[in-house]
Amino acid sequence: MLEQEKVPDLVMDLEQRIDEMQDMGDAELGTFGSLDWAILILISVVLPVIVLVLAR
Amino acid sequence: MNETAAPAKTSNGQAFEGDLLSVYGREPLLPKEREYKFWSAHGTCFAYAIATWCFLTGGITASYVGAFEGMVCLIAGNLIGVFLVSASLSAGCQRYGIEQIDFCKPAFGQNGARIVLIFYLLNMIGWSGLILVMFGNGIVNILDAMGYHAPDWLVGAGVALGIWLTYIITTRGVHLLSLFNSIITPALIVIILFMFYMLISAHGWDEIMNAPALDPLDEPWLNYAIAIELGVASGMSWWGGIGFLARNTKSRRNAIYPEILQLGLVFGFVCSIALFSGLVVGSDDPTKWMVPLGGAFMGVMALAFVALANITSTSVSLFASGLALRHLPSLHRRSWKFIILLTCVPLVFFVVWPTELYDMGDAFLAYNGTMHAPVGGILLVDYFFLKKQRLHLRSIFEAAPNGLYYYSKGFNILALLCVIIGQLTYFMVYNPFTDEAHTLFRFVPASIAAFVLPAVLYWVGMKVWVERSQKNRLAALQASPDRLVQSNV
Repeated sequence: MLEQEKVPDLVMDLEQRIDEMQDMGDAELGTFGSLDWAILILISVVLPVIVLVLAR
Repeated sequence: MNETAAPAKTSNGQAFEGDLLSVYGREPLLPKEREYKFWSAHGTCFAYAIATWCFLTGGITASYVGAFEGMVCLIAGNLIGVFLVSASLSAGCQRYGIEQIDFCKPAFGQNGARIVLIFYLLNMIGWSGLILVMFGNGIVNILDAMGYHAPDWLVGAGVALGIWLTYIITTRGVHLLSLFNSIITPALIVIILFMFYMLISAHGWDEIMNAPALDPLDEPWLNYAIAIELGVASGMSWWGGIGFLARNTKSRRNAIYPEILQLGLVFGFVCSIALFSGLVVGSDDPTKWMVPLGGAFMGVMALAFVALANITSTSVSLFASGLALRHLPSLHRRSWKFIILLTCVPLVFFVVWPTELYDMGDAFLAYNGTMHAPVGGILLVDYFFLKKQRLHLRSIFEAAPNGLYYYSKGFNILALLCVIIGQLTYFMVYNPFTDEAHTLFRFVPASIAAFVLPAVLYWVGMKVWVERSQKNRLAALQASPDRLVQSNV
């Protein structure tokens, strides 16, 4: 069991983390644009469905 | 995230155990604390993907279809399934550094997410148990190959040994997991390539392609449809590990691409090699393939490495389960060792009844499909189309009723109803226990039907009944001081 006196620190730390993550711009966590989504949908949905239909 | 690194500092410059909890707990992970970059993200996903669960999936698929159809269904189905469940989970968990049960709260509510947690824990512990039984079977088959007659109880003893090893690794943290993966992953690549080489050189492509399914049903279309369903459902069953992986990555591309490529594509390929092995050897038990394919020495070596890989995979599962258990108020501040010990308790059943529980693997895979599909559909609609990729992070950690995601007594009834509708839809389209199928199953896998229908109903229901009250609640929150009233961590 963690010591009880750590609990206020934990909540304070959580508040800081929430503020930091909420205020952070998307770009700071890596870009993922429409081209990425197009590639993903193509390789994960469109091509697999075509292959499944052709192989049936 | 690196345990050897200096602990983080608070605003007053002091290090404290909150850092430790952010590593092992549920607090949002800051980018500087995250472990996985490009290669480590791919390596971890790869090691996760090529554990024995793909051998299990390939073995089951061999019962229904031959090599070509099975390979197409497993690769294509996996890609579709992984994408559908990982798109929202990866994007959201990586963006906010949260794990996946927390990510469920905006859609399901503070307490509703705990219902998803129960499904989730059953999934993680079930997979872990099955893999540990295969670890035990592997030990027995190694001894058999060396000329010793292994007693039946040794499988259970192997499971017990696996639980102990897993506990040791998991309690040492994610850094040790990465270290193990960096050693085991290259060895597994060699083993799988070796298996494939032996299949081609000893049996030839024609023999593999012409090998009949082990135990097909009478109607060919139904076998093909079931094989697609196995592919999609096994892809969706990655739901349990995606949030854990994504929140530990530094960039969004490192979160999503490794999951699609490793958990979708590579997993499908390895399942296919397992499928070929099952068809050629004539058994759906993966631990019986290695020695016939590789001979006594190489077969035993391969079995030993795969067994080790099972331990690291189980460790990842238990690590994620431990994080999820932090959602239970009584476990918020328990030690990490205690929590991991708790996740090991249900695994004891696999020590006592390893064979009996292992034989229920088919039913377990079916259960996964009925659960992950509707939850995945709801989360995708909620994150991309309703929340527009913007979560109110403070409300995720707010246990008081004023939080944006409190809904009705902590439950979003609409989301939970849609999950039930999704599960019923699955069984109406295809009943995996009886193999009865609706005509619709010819054209749509049951998992896709159970994904799409709840997603659409949820979107309509949220727009009509819930969205306005959410906007009012958000406005009230923005007008009040930005502090947690009652933290749920």
